Amino acid sequence: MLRAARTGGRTSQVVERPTGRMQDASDEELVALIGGGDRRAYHVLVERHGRRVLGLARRMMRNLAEAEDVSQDAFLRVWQKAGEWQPRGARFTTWLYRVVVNLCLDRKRRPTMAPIEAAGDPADSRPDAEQTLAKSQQDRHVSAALQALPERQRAALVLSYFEGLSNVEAAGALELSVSALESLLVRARRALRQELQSRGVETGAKEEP
Amino acid sequence: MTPKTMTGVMNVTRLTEILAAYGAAPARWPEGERAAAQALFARSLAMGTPAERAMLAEALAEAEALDGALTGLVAPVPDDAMARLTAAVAFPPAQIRQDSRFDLFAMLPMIFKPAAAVGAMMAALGLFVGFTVDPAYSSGDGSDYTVSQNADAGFAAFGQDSGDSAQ
Repeated sequence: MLRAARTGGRTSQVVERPTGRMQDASDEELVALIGGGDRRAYHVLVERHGRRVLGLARRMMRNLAEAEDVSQDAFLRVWQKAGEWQPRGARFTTWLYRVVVNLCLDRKRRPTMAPIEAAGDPADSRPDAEQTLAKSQQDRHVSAALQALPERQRAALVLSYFEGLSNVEAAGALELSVSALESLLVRARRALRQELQSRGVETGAKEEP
Repeated sequence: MTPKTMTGVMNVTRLTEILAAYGAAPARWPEGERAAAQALFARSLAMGTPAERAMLAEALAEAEALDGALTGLVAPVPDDAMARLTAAVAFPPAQIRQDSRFDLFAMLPMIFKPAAAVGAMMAALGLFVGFTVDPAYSSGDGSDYTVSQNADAGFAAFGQDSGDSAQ
């Protein structure tokens, strides 16, 4: 059942659902409820997208602890901005991924962070990070090579390859045109291949000059 | 190799661009081009020129190799990380919500709307009095007070002289 709700001076379409039906609500319906301060809807949204947000942040950042910080910031931003969010034809997940990517890029730009290109192999030797990110020597090399990519290239590759976003969604999350995203992906994959070759990882391709 | 937009005709060059950008799995290819790309791929491998077949085979091998290397990083998010995230955001601080913060611009209508209403009422009352009450006041001796006479009365009430009466 749809009703118009006034939230903070804004009118939005809100779906009234029984507690058990909250799980069936679309992302956009949940966001409208969150805009009105509905914590149950917020918890459903966190449960629904938490793992993907963590996964995206983990591949963008150096370790799981930073990824968790970014994910928390992202969901707090959802809580704060839900009342202002207007779909305008875009999916909520596109906006959410954009928030996560931008938070990751912001953190990478902080002067206290060591430049990732200089990091070489993953510096994080915590068991959880190693167990999840690099189970083998090759995986460690691939992980390091991925981290060595320029930020935007890594973001494009992570969104497209690991998160399985369509080219339109990934372009939306990065605020790029589809053709610009595609160009970024080509460069990312080429750079990753070269990085892996420099680390002695077999990529099945001829050595590039 | 410069990627093109998705509106062009599907050909071997475009197909190699797709492989270079999205990898070897058709599921990751642009939805609008996927069917045409797959059909061309099958046709080119079967009936293409040797040069086309060689170009596609090389592009496919590179894409598959990189996809294979990345596959090892597809690891699920640990359950404890998800649990920590859920716990951390379980009780978002209400004080940082937009509609609970002090927002002067949001308060302006609340301040000015009542003030405007009172002002409008006062103006309406003034107009009503102005149009309905005769300003001329009869003194009973046949003469009317003028405005200056009314002013004199006002000064006298406060024990002052307006100055006109001395003349």
